[in-house]
Amino acid sequence: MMDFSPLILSLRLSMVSTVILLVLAAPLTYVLAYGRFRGKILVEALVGLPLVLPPTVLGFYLLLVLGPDGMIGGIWQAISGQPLLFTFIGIVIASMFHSLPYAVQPLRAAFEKIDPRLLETAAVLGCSPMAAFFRVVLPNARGGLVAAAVLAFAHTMGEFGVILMVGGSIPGKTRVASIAIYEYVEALRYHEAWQLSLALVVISYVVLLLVSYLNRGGRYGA
Amino acid sequence: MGLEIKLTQKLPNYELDVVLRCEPGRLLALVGPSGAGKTTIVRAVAGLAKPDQGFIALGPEVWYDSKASIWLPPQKRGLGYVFQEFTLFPHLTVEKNVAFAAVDKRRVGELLAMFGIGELAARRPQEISGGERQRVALAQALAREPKVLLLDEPFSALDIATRKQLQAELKELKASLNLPIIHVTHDLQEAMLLADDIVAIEAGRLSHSWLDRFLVHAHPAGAAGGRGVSSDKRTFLP
Repeated sequence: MMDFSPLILSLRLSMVSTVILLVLAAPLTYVLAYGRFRGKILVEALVGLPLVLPPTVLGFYLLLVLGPDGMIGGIWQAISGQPLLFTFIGIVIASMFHSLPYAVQPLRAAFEKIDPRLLETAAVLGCSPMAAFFRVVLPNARGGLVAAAVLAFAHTMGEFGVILMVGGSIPGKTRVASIAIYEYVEALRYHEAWQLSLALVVISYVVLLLVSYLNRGGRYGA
Repeated sequence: MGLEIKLTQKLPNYELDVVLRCEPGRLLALVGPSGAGKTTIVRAVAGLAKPDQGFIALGPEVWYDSKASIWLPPQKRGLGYVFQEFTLFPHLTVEKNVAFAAVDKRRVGELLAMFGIGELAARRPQEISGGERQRVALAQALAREPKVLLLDEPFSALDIATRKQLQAELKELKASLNLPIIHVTHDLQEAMLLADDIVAIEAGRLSHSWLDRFLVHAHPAGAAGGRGVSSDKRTFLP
């Protein structure tokens, strides 16, 4: 009987990191899409960086930042008393950084499609920028939210290098499907590699079908 | 509480430089050719665009004073603004659009009835006609119980029959609203019908001559007498 735990871990990781990522990426994208501030172009380039960096480079820096002496890892350790590296939470955070541009891009496209006069109307009607975000921008960017969720999810499902750097390969904790496949192949256990790979292919294909469907007919306001 | 507007703003081809006043219960029409600066004025009043210099106040409430560095954002000004088109929230029904900023939610039904859009309450803006949308936009603006009403070419995207009807409705409605109303239009007839005061803006300045030229066309007999303003409207110049 095949061991499905890496696949289940991948699904759990993708779901958790996608949800948290959307919550953080949506306001960030709102600021990038509509805000006017110095250094915006620098922030934009920084957000896009994971698209072009080798996962090992990103993973290496995350290893430093999430480590006990790193900024995030240090704070986390001080609060919880637990390390971040080689834990599930650690790979959730790493995945979020890696998938950030995949969430920001569709969100931004959807936000920028919203008629700016709607935001002006909202302001005149008494909405603060934050109220306008919740009452006007988000409801009119549902298509973008779904696309962002799907892309971030799919990207995290297939992630390998960053997770290996930050999480290692601890069964049940950080040994996700892509890493398990790699190890099966290394151990010449092709049968298991085959099964797990096929499962990933099917899941990814279904996700992409969903994207196509949403782009064609299921969109709403974006 | 009168609305007081003084502003200067450098625009690509000329400088906008106007002084205007609008008292509660009066409708001030801003007429003039396209690109004359009319919309720039109302956008400054709404707080959507900051002029280079000037002063905007509603009675004792200062919204903008370049000398004192006062600039109140649009959401704090408490006004109603009806744009030319497409400003209803597409994700909300007509009823929810009107209720969006309603001070008293119980008044929503009343406003829907007043504008004859009660039957459309459950529809979305995309599913109703242009004239109906502008009625909804007016109801939405009034539901927030504004202190000033700004109408920026609210009827110009409508067919002529609908436009006439909405003009008549606004004329009736105006009597019951005790607030300053600024109405931008390039349609002088609309201005003549609705306004208590008409000001022509041409290339950023108040202009008598523009108004005269058009009134001469519209009312040749009256124009012979003098300044050319042939109706009971008077141009307002401070």
